[in-house]
Amino acid sequence: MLDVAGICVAAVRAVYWLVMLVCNFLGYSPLWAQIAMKNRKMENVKIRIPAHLAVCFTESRLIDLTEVIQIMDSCVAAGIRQLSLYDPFGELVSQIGQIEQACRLFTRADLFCDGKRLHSSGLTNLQVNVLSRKMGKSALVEACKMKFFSKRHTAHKSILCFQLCREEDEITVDRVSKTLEDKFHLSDPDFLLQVGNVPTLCGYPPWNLRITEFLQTPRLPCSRRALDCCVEAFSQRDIRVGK
Amino acid sequence: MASNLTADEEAGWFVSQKEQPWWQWLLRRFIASGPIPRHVAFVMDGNRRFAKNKNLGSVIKGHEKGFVQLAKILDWCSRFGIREITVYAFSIENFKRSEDEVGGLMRLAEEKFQKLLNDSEKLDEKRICFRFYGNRTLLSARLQKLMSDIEGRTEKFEGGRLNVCMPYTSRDEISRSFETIRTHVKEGKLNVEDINESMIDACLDSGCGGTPPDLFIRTSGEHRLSDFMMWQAADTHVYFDSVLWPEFGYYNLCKAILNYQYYRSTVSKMSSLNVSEETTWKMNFRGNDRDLISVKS
Repeated sequence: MLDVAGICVAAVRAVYWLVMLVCNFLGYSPLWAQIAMKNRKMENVKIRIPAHLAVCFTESRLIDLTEVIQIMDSCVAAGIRQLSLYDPFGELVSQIGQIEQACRLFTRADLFCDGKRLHSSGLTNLQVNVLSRKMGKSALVEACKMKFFSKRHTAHKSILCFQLCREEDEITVDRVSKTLEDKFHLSDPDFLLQVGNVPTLCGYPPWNLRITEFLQTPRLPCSRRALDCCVEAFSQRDIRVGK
Repeated sequence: MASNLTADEEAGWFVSQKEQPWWQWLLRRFIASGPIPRHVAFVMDGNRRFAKNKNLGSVIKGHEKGFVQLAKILDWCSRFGIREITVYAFSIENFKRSEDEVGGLMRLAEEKFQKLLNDSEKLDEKRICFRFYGNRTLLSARLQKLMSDIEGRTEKFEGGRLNVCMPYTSRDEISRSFETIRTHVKEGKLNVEDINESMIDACLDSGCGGTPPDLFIRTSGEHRLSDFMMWQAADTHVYFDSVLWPEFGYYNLCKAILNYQYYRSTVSKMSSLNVSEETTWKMNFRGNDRDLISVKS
């Protein structure tokens, strides 16, 4: 009597052996080996959570309000303190009311839109800044003008005198950074996700991308798991500032 | 400097013109049937890692190999019809590196710039205009003189353009352009209301006849701008390659150009979202004076 079970087991083993042989020949590791290698690699990598995460939508079809609200929740869970959402198509700005409502009801987040504060929670875990194309180069143009406009818009003599003195000071990198931060709430993201397949920064506020790490992703990583994968990728980056 | 130079290293900036291998010729003919970027910006990253991987002994050897590769890439780009190239040679942040490395890099720069000036015949033959972007006051007097001499010598050349950023950061460039505008306003030559993106473009180092890059390439697998041409590259095609700069070969350049061609129309649509400005500005250079001139659209 043929041992059918034994033949089946032998057949499965033979197929498995053939697959391993082909994988080794072609240089591919089977899935379990890949997972094991990845786990071993991640043991040696310290996870770094970016304090400021930016998202740049390069395709308008990928902008979904539900996913945006979901990523806000994921950022709170992951411990990310600041989230900038750059949409050069203006769709998020047109739906800012709904985002504000979500911040009020569900996510403990402060909400800014193009630098203006819209909502502030008492105990906030996250600052969200929704940015349109106006916050790109145009913000730098306004920052440049602000160095001079201070003279026009103050009436009080002592303040005028103080600001006239300020006008005599040379414009430096630190002063420009401070103006952008104070007036437009623009700061440097540690990590920027380019959502979509188009390899461009779409006019993201250029001043703030000095040492930002980029990662291109086909969709918005709104779930906690997807965001964790992105954070792992960020943790593996070698950040050297000029050195 | 290094002894036992190869023929490539002896050739300096201009690689000797030889017939291209048949496969390079074929690839070029195929790729050139599509649109070619007019201006490519390179972040030449990976020289030190190359020196370490190949056990060259010192990081300066890696930078020397990087220069040799630059000369080859300039030749390849010229054959493709790429008219303008910008390279990130030295960042202001790089002054934080060891004295040995910074000193070695400065000596390498002096040697290469002097070689360029001495190679008068090639300069006149190639007619490439050289420009230096960056804060030159941070460099030695000798280097500054060499740079001025090269710019003066090649000012009128129109065979192509090579912009060498050294020592450079984009933030420093933008703040100096703001300072230029501030001076013009203070002298009554401009109104504050006239300040727009075009004026800042004109006041940047690249405002002296440069164009915005069509393609931004960074080697060595790092995915960041590192304070390089952040203003100019805000809407540009950004391409990252994992290969180290001294190993960036013809095939890598072809892949980058093909990638540019594939996404060109989509990237152009993104930059067309910018609002066009009523008044554009350009910078007129007259000796040491610079004047901003408006050109109404």
